[in-house]
Amino acid sequence: MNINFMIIVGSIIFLIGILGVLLRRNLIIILMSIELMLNGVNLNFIAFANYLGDVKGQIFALFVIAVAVAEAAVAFGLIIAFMRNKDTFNIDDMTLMKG
Amino acid sequence: MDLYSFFIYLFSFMSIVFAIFVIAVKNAVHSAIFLIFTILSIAGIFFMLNAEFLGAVQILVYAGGIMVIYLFIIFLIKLEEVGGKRRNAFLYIVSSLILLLVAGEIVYLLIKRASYPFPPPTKFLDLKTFSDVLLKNYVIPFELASLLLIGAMIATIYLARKRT
Repeated sequence: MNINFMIIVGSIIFLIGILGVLLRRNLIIILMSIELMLNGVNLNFIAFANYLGDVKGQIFALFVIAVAVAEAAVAFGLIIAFMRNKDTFNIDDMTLMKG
Repeated sequence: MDLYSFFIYLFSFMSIVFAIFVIAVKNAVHSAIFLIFTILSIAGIFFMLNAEFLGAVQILVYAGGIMVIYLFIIFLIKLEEVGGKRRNAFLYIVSSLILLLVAGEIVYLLIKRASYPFPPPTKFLDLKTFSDVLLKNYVIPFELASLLLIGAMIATIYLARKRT
């Protein structure tokens, strides 16, 4: 498989994730965009592992998935904690730390 | 075009289209469903690229575990449209500038600058070498990952508990 094609696909998914983080206002969709970015990175790891015949890329992709699970769980806790205090999920209203 | 290339192109196209839908649709539940479709398409690419174990992990853990967490979050909150003022044009311009910058950097560094002098794979990537390397050479990061998960679990319970 052509490695440049897989790099481009992974980069496009990563850039879509960046665009979602920058443009959407819903906190949950922003977290989903971060998952998209992690998936784009994983795609690059797998493509290079296949290209080089080296299994280390797959191992790093496995660790990326583990970190994504931890991130989703902590985000869940943060959202519940935020829901107790405020009633909104618009990130434009999250201005508690504005100086 | 043989069947292998056809499936790679099909799954790549599907993953990109569904990823665009994830950030384009209004409803958060639809967004989560499209993210599940994206993850399944990427799992298909993993199967095509000799990463069967990671494809299975992607389906079981990502599509089955993480997305259920996200759907739980969506069902727990009051599912109302996130309103507020529209993004102004300045933010769109800055976002597209950042996007173009990162895209240009990726194209320049990864495709134009870098050269990959390695030959096509000589070793076959099977599950046995994967588990050998993971549980022999990378056993300490493997255990640290379990510590990370326990830390994340404790942090979530601490954050989400009812404060008295």
